[in-house]
This record gives sequence, structure tokens and C-alpha cells, in this order.
Amino acid sequence: MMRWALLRIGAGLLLVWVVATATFALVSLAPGDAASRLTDPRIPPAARERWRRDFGLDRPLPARYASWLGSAVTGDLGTSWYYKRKVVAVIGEVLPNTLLLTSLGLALELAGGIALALVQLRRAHGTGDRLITLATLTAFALPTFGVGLGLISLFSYRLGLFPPSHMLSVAGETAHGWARFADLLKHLVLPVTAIGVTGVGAVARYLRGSLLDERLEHYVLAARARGCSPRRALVAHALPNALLPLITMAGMSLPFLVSGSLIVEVVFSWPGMGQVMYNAALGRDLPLLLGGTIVATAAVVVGNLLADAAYAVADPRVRL
Amino acid sequence: MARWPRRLRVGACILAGLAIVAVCGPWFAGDPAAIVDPRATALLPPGSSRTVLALRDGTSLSAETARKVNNLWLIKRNGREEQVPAADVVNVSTRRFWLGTDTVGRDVLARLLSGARVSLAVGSLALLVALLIGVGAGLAAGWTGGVADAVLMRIVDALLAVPMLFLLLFLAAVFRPSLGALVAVLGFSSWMGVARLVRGQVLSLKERDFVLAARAIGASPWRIAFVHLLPNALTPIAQDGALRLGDLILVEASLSFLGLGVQPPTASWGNMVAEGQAVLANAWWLTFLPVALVALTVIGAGLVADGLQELARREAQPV
Repeated sequence: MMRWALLRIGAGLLLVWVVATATFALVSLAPGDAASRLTDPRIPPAARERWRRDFGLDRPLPARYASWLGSAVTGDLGTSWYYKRKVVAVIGEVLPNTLLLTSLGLALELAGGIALALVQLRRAHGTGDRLITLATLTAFALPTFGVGLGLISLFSYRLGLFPPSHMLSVAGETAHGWARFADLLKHLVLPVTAIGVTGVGAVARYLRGSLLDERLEHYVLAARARGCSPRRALVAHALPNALLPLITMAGMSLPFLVSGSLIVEVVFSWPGMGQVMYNAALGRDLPLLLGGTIVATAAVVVGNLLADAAYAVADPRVRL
Repeated sequence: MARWPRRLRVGACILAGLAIVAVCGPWFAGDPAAIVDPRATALLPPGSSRTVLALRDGTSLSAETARKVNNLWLIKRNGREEQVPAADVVNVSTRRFWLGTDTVGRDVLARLLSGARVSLAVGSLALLVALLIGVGAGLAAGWTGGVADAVLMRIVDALLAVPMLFLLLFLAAVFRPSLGALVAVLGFSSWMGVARLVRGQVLSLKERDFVLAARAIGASPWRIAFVHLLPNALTPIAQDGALRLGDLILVEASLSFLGLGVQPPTASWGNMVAEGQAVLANAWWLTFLPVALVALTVIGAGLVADGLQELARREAQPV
């Protein structure tokens, strides 16, 4: 167990280091450095050169890499060119917003997927099952931005039920306690639904298939023979076993969740990691992009680690 | 030849239909970049038609109604009555915009069709790149085993854990996106699943008797890999490929939607949605139609994948 954990943590650190180095190399090889952002033609070349020296841009690449890695290890990922603040501070401010959005989205997607698959299995291959299969296939096929824009068009513009963007309204920003919370909830509904709708298809489709297989297993037959009702056999016996691979699937889908939330954040102007990264990409804010990619990779590594540990806890047959 | 499952037939028809439309459609639908009269033809709903007066100076006017009185054309344009001397008008024609127009008056049908070409071509070429790398790596890992296998699979594990969209954002920010670069980047970011699948197939197939038989009659390892192992793994590879095609088309659409994929004025379904987003409240067709086409493609690919899985299950069971 201890050995396994150490090995996995080591491998995760190695991966983060490799991604960090690769992205650093890309940034360094990219045409134009920080000094090229001084676009004002009135700046004399001498001042430009001094500026490059002040920021250490005249040093050779290995030296720059060494000092960058040195400060990265101590948690300093540089300064954002756009925000003029520490990258770590910018990310630390928006990361909780993303975690809130994605964890609620993931919960909705799992709960919805389980519910749909169970409804389908009550009469497999019946009309209801076919209709839900068609619906889940469609949900699976819809692009995230399409779902988001559709929700905004229907629930914000036509019906005026929920706000189309941002995390808090102007009134909510200054409010405290319950009013602020209610405002936040109102803003959460549409983006969380967008994540849930695009993810529910994959979960339901997967779970339906594996429940169909599990249902034929001997332990389910044995439960039925002991007088267990069909519904109980499905929910209490087949479902827990069918859910097990879903833990791995959730872990594997973390990178997709991170990217899915990026699109949702852009569509709904949600002040999260994805939105910040997107603006950094558009504005070529390279330190922020570099830091964000590293933080996102680290988050995925930690998520995968937790998913594997959760699998071992849930399935006693697995030894770490 | 066993009968194909219905899902496979339906899915294959959808994909084949889309491919035919993408290849042939643009020849019939006219120029997707043509701008008739920007203000007067902007944001027309599907099915609208306009009378187009081509003028001697090369520009054209788009009118809601037009009639000729003596040597004057009386037209209604942008909701106002205007007069044009008949001597200036070279040609008068009627144009119908079956799927409406966009914010600068371009024909949405023509743009959707040329966008279909771009989106499907980028998706399938990226799939080809992913299949070439993935099948190669998977065969190499599964067939040779040992150190090569361990190294390749660790690389695959590592790459699978990288949040690809962030890396794609990064690449798009650092390098100017071109269609070729987009295909390469999408292909390189999605070969890992293929490699894993092919390796698993090879590991189970290589213990089978027909491989032993092939070895016994002196077939070379290369021949066994490509003539005996690979054809037997085709159905699962095709199933995975169909799902992956849908996925790649979704990723391309998302990147283009974000403005980091296919660049305007080249139309792709994703960047059409991005352009329509600003007028979402009063021009639904600009966002709805491209999204529906993306979804239709992915549904087709998903049905093909489901059908192939059913086919594989049938092949596995003796009837």
C-alpha cells in the first residue's frame, strides 16, 4: 500500500515535471519574448535591451530553465503579463470557482446517468428503453457549447428564468449571507446543467451496457433464487458491481471534465480556470498559460490517484 | 455475409450521406464567401428570398420588392423605398436563402456545406493520423513485449493524464493555427487510446493457435503482425475509430468555436456558431444549424460504433 502510494506519487510528479518542461520549451521556442510586448514605438532600443536584461531574458536557455524550475518548485510560477500579479495568486483565486462548477456538474452527470440506466433496465429493449437510448446518444453527441447556447437561448432569453452569465449579479456581489447564496445558486443552474447534459449520455450508455451484462451473472441469479425482488436484485446486487468501473471512468474522464468546463466557463462567462486560461491564450499571456497548464496537469494527476484509491476501497478484491 | 445490425446500417447511411453532401454540396450551393448587399441581406430567416439587382459598377443591391416603372427601378431596401436608374442595372435575379443568412449576409446553406467539408476532412484526417500512430505503437508494444512494451505503455498512460484542451490552447496561442497543424495536433493528441486497444487485442490474439500455425510454417514476425494479427483486430479497431471520429469532430468544433481552430473566413461548423453567438437572441438558425450538424455526425459515428460492437458480439457467439 505504502509502496504503491509512493510509486504513484513519484510517477505523478515525474509527469508534472515532463509537462512543465515541455510547455516551458514551447514558450521559449515561440517567436517573440516578453520584451516584444513593449509595442510602443517610442521606447528606445536601449531601454528595451535593459528591460530584457532586468528580466533575465538575455541569459542562455538552460540558465533560464534552471532558475524558472527553481522558483516553480517553491511554488512561484512567475508573474502574469496581463494581470501584473503572481500566476499562483491569479489561479488560486479562480480555481475554487472551477472546482465548484465541475464537482456539481460531475455529481449531476453521475446521478442522472445512474437514474436513467435504472429506468431503462426496468424493461430492457422496451419502448422506453429505446427512447432513452436515443436521448442519451443525442446528449452524448451534442457539443458542449451547443448545449450551453441552447440553454441560454431558452431559459435566459425566451423564459427569463436564469441569468445567462457570470457567477454573481451586481446586487449579489455586495449582498451577504442568504441573498448572496441564492444569487450564486441561480447563476449555477445553467452551467451545471450544461456540464450534466453533455456528460450524462456517456454515463448512462456505459452503465446500461454493464448492467445488462451484470444481470446475467450468477450472483444476481442466486439473489433472485433466494426470493429477492427483480428491482432489489438490480439495485442492491447488480448496480454496485456495475458502478465499480465508473470510478475508473470518472478518473479517466478528469481531463475531459477540465476541458469541458473550459467551454462552459467561456460560454457562461464563469470566472474560473478555463476562462482565465482561454483569455491567456487569446492574449498570449505565456506565464499564466504555462502555470495554468501545470496546475491543471497536477490536478488531473491527483484526481487519478484519488480515483484509484477509491477503487481499492470500493472493491476489496483489488489490492494496492 | 451476415446481415448488418440495424444501428450499423442507419449510422453508416448518416455518415455516408454527410460525406456525399460535404464532397458534392459546395459545387451546387454557390460561393460561401459571396456577400450580396451586407446590410440588406444580413440575418434573413430561413426561406427568405430577395430580388438582386446587379449594378454596372460591380456591386449589387438586394431588395424586398422591386418593380420597373418607365426607366426607373422602384425598390424597397432596408425597409425604405429607393429609386435606381434602369440604365445602371445590368441584371435582375431572384435569390432564395433556404437556410437564411448570417450577420454580413452570406448564405448559411453554402457556408454549412463548405463547413461540412472542412469539419469532416479535419476530423477524418486527424483520425487517420491517430490510427497510424496508435496501430503502430500498439502492434509494437503488444507483439514485441518486454521493455518496448513497458516504455510505450508508460508514455501512453502519461499522455492520457494530460488535459489535452489546455495543451491545445497553449499550442494555438504560441503557433498560428493552420489546417495542417490542426490535423496534426488533433491526431497526435488522440492516438493513445488506439495504442492501448491494439496492444490488448494483440496480447490476446498472439496466444491463439493460428498464430502458432503461422509461425510453424515459417511466417516472419512482420507477416504475422500485419497479415494475421491486424486483420483479426479490425472490428474493435473500427468500433473505436468510429467513436474517436465523433470525438475528434467535437474537439475540432470546440476549438473552432473558441477561435483557436479553423480560422475565418474559412467556414467550419464550430466557427459558424462562434459568429452566430452574438445574435443568439434573434437569429437561432446561425447557432442551431451547425450544432445540429455536429450532433448528427457524432450520432452517426456512435451508431456505427454500437453496430460494430453488436457485430463483434455476434461473431464471437456461435449461432
